[in-house]
Amino acid sequence: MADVTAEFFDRLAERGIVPGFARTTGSVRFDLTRADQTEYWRVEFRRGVVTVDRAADAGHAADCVVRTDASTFDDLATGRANVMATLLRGRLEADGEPELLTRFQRLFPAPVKRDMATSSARTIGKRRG
Amino acid sequence: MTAPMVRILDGNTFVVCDERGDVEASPTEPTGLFSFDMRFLSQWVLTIDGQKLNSLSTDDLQYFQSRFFLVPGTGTVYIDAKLSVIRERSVGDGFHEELTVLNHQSEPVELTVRIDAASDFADLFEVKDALKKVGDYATHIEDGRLHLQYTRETFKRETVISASAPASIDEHGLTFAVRIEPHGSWTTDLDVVTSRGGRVGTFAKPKYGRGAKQARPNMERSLERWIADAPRLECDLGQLTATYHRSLVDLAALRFSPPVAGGKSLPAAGLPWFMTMFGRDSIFTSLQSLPFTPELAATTLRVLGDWQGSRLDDFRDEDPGRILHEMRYGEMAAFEERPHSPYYGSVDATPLYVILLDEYERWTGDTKLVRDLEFEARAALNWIDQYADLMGNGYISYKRRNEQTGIENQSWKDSWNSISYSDGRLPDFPRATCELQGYAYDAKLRGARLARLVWKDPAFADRLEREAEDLKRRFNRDFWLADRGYFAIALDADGSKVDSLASNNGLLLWSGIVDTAKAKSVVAHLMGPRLYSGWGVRTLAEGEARYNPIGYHLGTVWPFDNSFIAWGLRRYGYKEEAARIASDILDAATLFDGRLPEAFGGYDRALTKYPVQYPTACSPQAWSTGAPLLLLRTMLGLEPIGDHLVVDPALPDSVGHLELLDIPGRWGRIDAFGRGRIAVEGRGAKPSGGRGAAGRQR
Repeated sequence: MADVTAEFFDRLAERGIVPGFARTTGSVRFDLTRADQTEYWRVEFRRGVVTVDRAADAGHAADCVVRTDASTFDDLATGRANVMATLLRGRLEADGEPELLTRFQRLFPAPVKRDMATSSARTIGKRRG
Repeated sequence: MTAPMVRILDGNTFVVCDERGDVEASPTEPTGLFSFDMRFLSQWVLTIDGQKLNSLSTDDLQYFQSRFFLVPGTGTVYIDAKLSVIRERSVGDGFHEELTVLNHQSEPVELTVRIDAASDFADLFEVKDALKKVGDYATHIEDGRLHLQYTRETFKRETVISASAPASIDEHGLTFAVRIEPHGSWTTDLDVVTSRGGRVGTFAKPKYGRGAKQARPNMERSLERWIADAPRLECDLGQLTATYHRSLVDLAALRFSPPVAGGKSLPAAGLPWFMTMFGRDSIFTSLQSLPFTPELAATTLRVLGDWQGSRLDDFRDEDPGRILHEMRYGEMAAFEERPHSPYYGSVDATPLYVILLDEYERWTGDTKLVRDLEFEARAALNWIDQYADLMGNGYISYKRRNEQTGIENQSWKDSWNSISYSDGRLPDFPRATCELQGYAYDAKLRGARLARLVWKDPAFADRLEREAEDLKRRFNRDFWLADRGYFAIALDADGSKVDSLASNNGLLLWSGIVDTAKAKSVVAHLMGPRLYSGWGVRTLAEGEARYNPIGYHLGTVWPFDNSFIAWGLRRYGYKEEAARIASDILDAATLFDGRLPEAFGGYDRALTKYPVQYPTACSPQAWSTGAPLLLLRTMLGLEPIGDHLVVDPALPDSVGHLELLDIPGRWGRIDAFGRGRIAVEGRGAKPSGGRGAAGRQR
């Protein structure tokens, strides 16, 4: 299987300038575990310019550290999973400045087509009671 | 019978309990300790020698704190109690409860004091449905603490309960063997801590300890500072001052600090069930409160900008540039059984975002934020034309892509039957409601101002202005019902005009999209007997097939709606009408002790004498809390022009003399004065015209 995570970061590194990140400064490190191994990716945003560092290790500090397993990240990188839902489910943790993960999540691709939940109900907006 | 409910909250952690302080959740009683959209306690019941207690009184000390005075007994016949019990509870990262038992006898007593505790870990969405849970429950006792746990895959929620006094702990609660000397007392502290996911054990203690005096602060400003920093209102009409104070306190309680906002807060939608980010509600409330607490707007703009849509996602109704509708943090959002992670199914929040950004700059002069958010504002403006024009006819319309759990009506009247023809038929989707076109028009003009002033892009500004003018011209042709003299509430999917008369016409005035020649007729309808109840403008006019004075969006009067209609009336020069609305809504506020409900019945004022509250579970509601603030702005005619604040008062005569002191803005602080000169008492009273003093800068 192709390393979809590496492809995702490679594409990001190739872009260099990411629209919408002009006001974002900071770094995010992704610690991705696969079996007993952890691979590290460090992404830095500075005035709209993004750099990706593959050789980083756990000693390489970042403003936000995101920990998850490599297969979950594969899903995020290919649009099979959503960051916020994954975070709420406890499959992903973020330490440091979580705003940076919020900024970062917009870089993930659109979801692949999915079956929606089965329940259907009339919506009543915000009324409750 | 439903017992009175007591609610206290801190951010999105809150307790709903009965007047004894007990929690006994059932499908019909949505009580409990809730945090991040999950229930952490569904049972919390105090007994003494196996008997429940009776309530003597309940004090809501602050929005995060209550005190319950209780006595043993059957509750049918009052006998002088030999014991009394005080529970004082403060919510924050769970809650802290100080439980005291007093012995009023001249001999010692031995008692068994018991707290029964349990949690069903229901998602807020399923609280009333009693759905069967997918995950596993576990209970264990460790280091003198009772742990209640719920696990579904990697999703973990835990409640940890402990006491300061010696207790025997079992899986269903805590028992205290208590001996109290004559005229003595016994006390224990009970700590209930909530924890989430990988964060189990993050909080060793709830936020408040004994005496509840020193909280670990989570808001950037205390309530006292919050009040002190807001403008001061002095007014001959004491009830208006009281309503103003109530609004400020409630707005403080409604501050919500999302986990990603760096400790800054924005207004949540309603207390307690809607303590979360809502695009529309947070924006409208920020607009209402701009002259008073402008920093709420700044946080709203930043956080909604951070979460702006970036991709096409049918489940979440997300598009690039779209501003979110609602964020939720519970199990059903986590497992994508609901789309709120976040959900983007609102069609008005995106143009309103640009409107708020411009209005914020006009008040504060904070061009830095406008520069920082240039990308977001441009993406929002782009969304209007590229993603929201579903029919390709140059108008914003909506049709949900998530057919299962998405919202059908995606503007503010979001109940399923809110948009109808005069004869009651519901139009098809996509639907283009009229106020959306007004917002688009206003957003383009305001975006043009920002493009010229801050982004230094005059070509973009010119383009936006041309588009706005074209939109206004087409709108006044395509939505206008010439024979009726008002604008259609919507265009149907086939382009037909949906012909019912609704309050949406008032929001059009606020946006400025109405041709001046048509305004007089629109105003006559808004203030006429079919729409105007005497307390305010109804959502839907009397005489429409679906009109119902207690239908959610079908005839009720919404204070929020009316506050923006009043602003629109002033924009078109209808000062007396704006003062009339302000006077009537503020009269209603007084009758609700200064706290306006979300909506009240559309019954004629002459019929009921008293506004009938629409029964909803959320109070206070953010944009109702903001309504008196916007009405104050409207009555005083406050408008930032360049670096100055123009004051042009048009006050109802009942107000008398009014001063709003230390209004913050790009001018520093400024005072505004006015005197009520517009007669609004009684129907048909002739307005005498308003005049007042101008502002005083210092």
